[in-house]
Amino acid sequence: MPRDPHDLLMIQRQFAAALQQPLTGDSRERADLDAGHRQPDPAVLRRAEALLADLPFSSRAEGLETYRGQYWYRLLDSMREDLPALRVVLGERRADALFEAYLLAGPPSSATLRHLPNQFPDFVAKRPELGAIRGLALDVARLEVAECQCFEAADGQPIRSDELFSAEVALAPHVNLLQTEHSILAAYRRWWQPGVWRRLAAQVATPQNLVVFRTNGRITVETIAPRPLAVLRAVADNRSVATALGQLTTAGRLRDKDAGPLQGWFHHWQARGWLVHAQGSERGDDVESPGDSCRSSSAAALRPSAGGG
Amino acid sequence: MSPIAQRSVGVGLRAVHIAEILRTLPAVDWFEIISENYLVAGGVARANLAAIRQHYSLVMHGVGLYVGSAQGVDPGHLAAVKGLANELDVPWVSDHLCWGSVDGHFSHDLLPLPYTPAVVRHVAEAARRVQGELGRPFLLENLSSYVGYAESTLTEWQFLSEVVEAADCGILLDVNNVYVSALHHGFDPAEYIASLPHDRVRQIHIAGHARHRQLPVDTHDHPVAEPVWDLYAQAMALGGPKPTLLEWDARIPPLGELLAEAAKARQYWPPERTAELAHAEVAHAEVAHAA
Repeated sequence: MPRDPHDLLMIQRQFAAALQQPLTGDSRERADLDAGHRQPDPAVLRRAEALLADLPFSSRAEGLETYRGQYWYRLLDSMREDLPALRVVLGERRADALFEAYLLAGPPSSATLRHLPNQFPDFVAKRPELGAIRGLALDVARLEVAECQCFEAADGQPIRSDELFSAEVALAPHVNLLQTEHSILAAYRRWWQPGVWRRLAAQVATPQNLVVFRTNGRITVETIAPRPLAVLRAVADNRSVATALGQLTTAGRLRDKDAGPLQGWFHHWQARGWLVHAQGSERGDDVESPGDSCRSSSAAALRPSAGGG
Repeated sequence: MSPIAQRSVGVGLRAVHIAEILRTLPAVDWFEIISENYLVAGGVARANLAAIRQHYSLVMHGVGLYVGSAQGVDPGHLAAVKGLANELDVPWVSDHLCWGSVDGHFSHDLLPLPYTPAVVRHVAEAARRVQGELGRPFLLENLSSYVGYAESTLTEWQFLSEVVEAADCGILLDVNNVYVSALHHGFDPAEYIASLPHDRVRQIHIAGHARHRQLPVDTHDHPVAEPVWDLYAQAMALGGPKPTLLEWDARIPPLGELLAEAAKARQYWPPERTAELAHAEVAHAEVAHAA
């Protein structure tokens, strides 16, 4: 019997190793999976089975297979749920094979399934066997994973207009900036239609800048033009609106004629809650608002709402 | 602290129902949340939870503390659970008598343990630490299991009882899990229920199961089966009414149907007068014994 935690650790390592073996045979029936390139190592399964006892109506191998099936179907179902558009882009069988390869390359390392696809875009980027579709698959994977991350990201404390030039500013945790190789947003809005992806894949790739964010509890994706994106990135990098604008002006990337659009950009970002107090710099409610100097900033007074409902 | 009556019925809070719950505020005694779904401090899930909390009592049920892990409970995870428990001010926190992660890899499953005295000591120590860290009652739930270990020397009910006694924590008794495991392992589920220390049972789970190759699998996607109701009735007779929760996690029915299924639990409770008399008799016997 296990005499100490070391024995228990050995048992748990062998059991876990068996769970993580690729699925084969009957296990694949439910998911209609192809036999993967990798086969389970019979020695790993045998070592785990040796820890177990036969039960009245099932063998130790069948019991282990039940857990192996649960492990794989739970993880594959989670990936499928998080990446529905990618499944349309690649087709179900090819997507399942990719999900399985991803999970074999790195078993889950978080206690929540919501983090499961976080490294998936990096994985897709290194899959040359996807051929010509890889760029589009990567774009879609990045967008869908960004949506998952925005869904559960913290809210942050919104910046008021009168704080814009005095506060330490950050991009809200639920805002994700992406540059995709293809202009995918129009297709993504009809993601369930395979034809839109086929047409997009056949076109010459045109990059697109996207903002994925959450507002009032809903995940939204918008395009953003290069110039406002440069300002937004500069603000996020410098944690200061004044410093960012100063740098961009000095570098010749902002000119006097940009004052009008700049006001509109900040108005738009504040309305959507994209700018928040940098972590650790949140002002307390008892701190007085800055003076009128901030009111002369280009951004209008708006107070975006946090996610809810 | 949110009071949860002994004679009360809750359901699991599931995303598909949240909008309707907030719109209609149905008559539900309390909701149980899956702790791991709400551990990030922000986002849609936490905003929804805050809205629900304004109207209902909550209890937290975890699937990721893994008190049976040979490498111990992850302190970061425990801290996150504690933070959420403090924020929601729940009357207790529960999780499973299982393991599920090793070497930083998570199975996202509830895996059974070998039932030996050494493992009792290991798990009880972990559970005791969890309860101490949480600063509120911690309950351990029995699993459905589909394998047994060659080296087990205790029955599952002995193992559960010894762990909670040694850890001084409570039991979340899942009667569907007792039934499912009984059919796989060939034990008598009534003996299991009868053998438990019912004074430690703080909450009960009821659920439905599916069949795979004639054997039940704990899928939480059907109404509660008749034999499971029978076990529930036995538990009620032995321990009296306990806060009871219907779990339904797949093929989730409309909210009204879910609540109607959960409400059936009330049929199995002893009449209040009977229960009061029983308690009076116990109290009298104790006084007589002391005298």
